[in-house]
Amino acid sequence: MSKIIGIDLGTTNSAVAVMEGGTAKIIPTAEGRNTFPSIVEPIKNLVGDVAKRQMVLNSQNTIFSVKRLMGQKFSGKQSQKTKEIAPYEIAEGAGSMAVIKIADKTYTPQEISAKILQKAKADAEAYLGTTVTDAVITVPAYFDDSQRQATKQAGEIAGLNVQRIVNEPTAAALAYGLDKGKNETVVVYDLGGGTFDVSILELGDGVFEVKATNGDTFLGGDDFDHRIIEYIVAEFKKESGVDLSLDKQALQRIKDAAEKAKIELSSAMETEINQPFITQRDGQPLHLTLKITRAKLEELVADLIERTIEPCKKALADAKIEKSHIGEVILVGGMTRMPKVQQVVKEFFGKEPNKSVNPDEAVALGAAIQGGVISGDVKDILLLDVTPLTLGIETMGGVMTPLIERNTTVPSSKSQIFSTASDNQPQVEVHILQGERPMAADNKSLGSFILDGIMPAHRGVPQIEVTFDIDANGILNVSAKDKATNKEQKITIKNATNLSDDEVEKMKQEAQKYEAEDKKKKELVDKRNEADSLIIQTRKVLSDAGDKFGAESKKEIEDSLGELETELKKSDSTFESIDASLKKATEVMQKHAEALYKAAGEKDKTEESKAEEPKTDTDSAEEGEVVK
Amino acid sequence: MVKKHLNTEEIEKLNLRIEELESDYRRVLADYKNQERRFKDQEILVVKMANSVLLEKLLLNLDSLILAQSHLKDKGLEMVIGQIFSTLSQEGLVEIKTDNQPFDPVTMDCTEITPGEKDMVVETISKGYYLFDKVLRPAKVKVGDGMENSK
Repeated sequence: MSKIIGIDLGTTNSAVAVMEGGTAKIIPTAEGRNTFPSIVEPIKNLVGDVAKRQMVLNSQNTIFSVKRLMGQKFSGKQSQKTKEIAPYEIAEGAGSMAVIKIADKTYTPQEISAKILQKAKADAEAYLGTTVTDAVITVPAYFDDSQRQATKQAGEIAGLNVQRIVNEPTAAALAYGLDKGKNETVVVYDLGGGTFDVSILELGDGVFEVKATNGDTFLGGDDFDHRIIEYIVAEFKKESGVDLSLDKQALQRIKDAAEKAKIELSSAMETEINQPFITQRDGQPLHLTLKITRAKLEELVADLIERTIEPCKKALADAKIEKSHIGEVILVGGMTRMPKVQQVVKEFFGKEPNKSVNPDEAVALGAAIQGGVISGDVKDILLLDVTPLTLGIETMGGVMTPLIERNTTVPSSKSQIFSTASDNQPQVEVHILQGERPMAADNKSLGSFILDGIMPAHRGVPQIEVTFDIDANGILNVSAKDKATNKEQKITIKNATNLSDDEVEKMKQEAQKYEAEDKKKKELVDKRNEADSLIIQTRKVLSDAGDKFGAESKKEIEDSLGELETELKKSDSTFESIDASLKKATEVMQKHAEALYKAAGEKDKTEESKAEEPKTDTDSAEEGEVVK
Repeated sequence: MVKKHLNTEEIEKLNLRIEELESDYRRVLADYKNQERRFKDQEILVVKMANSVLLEKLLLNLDSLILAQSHLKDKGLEMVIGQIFSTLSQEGLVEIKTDNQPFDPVTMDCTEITPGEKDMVVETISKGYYLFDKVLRPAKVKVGDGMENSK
């Protein structure tokens, strides 16, 4: 079965989404945006941004807000109210239904909506690279049967099999993942570009029931924009005496600036509108500069936000539900990004609204999920697990070395080569750990095993490949293989991803809490390891080329190594004390090595020392920085 | 050990399960292939269009500069603006031709109708640009209404 797309056929904007790899994704339009204006010019067949751009030029032939006319009688209140604001002609068609008249042609609202759906289909096909024949389309919860029928017909005209008509609030709830939870009451607060809807849903066993719905079909973001424009024009008039509302060109710039300011004030407390050369007075240019604070904006639109409360009250009364019984409040529509709107919603329902899904996209995403359920895309496989915590092994000095990082999608597999810590080590212990702390002892131990039979060799020479393989069910297979002998040892750990949320949270919090302390511990271990390897390396050099050193030099080196060893053995040795001894030993070693080189190459004497000296300088400088 | 015989019902069930798993597998594989193809396209596009966000913001400032110039008519400023656009054109910015062109909603945004030849651009309010072959920003134009005595 081919993919079923989800379409949010909105009053002002529409969006399309599809299930992919188990999650719903918005399909970008041909213009590269996530939503497009629900505007149609049927004669030249223009839809979306392109239709919007020629709207001024061709207002009588450009249709917007056609959703308001879907399945409506011409004499109905909705049709008449739309007629008042629409520059295109609305007339009475067959069965006394509202139709749109352009030149001498009439179009049903279904035909116009079909153009929007056709664009959605074409964009989806371009994105998916296949033909699309099936769709789920959303409608407001209050749509009656004839409006739903009309929407379905629109889909058919567009060449789509409408698999289902879904309520917008239901789709939004799906996008918020509320179907998987408990039985609860959900409020969907949807403040879009042109309409406001509030719905009370009852969720139970994956079934959504719309208990009540209310709203204001002529209230939305556009009204908010108008308020800001009015304010800017009034302020400018106060300051300069020029009425910008008479200057269409200036008004256009203010409109763009107002929208930008509105968006900016959702994140910033203050914004500045700067429009140089906005107009002229007595041949002198005038500039518009105006600061708008968030508080000012909130004051300008306070009554608009307040208007959403009455429908909320009515919906609650209709559903016969107390505010205290509401389990979740979710936000839909771009205007709900405004902090004041969120605050008012919170104050009214007494609950922090959930805003985890992009409010412009929630409905389309939910429709896609519904499509996925129908096509069989959405099943249990949808729940691809991720590893909640990092998985790794213990390495020298009790350090946790991660192999599979936290939040890796399973199944996953990773290998890394390790080696021995001391000479002629016959076996290694692979200790498997889970957690975010840098020290092995602070993490959860999942198990360990021993790989033996390693051929005698210097430390660091044997190659032991450790592989972590975690399957889709969270079963972890850890194997260690000696590359020289191909000897292998393994262990299987079940439920490596299976931790309760509390456990994961606790471990993550601990990791944060002890971050500084852990870092110190790890630094100490790293320093110890550094010292260790210096001792071993130096000893190796002494035994390999000891005859080249004089007896005195040899003793001096031995002494400094001895000192370092004693320091390491002390129980109260610190990062600083080890570092001091280590530096001393390094200096001694370097001094003698230099002497050795000098003696060896009589001819290259000057060059050697030149090359050597600056190097030691930078070395010590770097170490000095680390200590600080 | 006794060999266990499956009855037809069980075989039927298992076959159905195999079919289901195979279709799931194909679905995932198809998603992956598509994703791969898209990533490839995207990769090229991302590199090519990396400047688009910055350019869009910069163009707003340049609009102001052009407005300033149209008022000041300063020779030096004229040169500076020319320099900026020559630099930007090296990065793929191309001006959308509007003057005396028929109105095209793909590349232009009509903000006002004004006396003039019908459906022709009478005046450009702010210039539009392509970034390579994509419309970065449509031009804002005044379009003729064909009412007035256009010559």
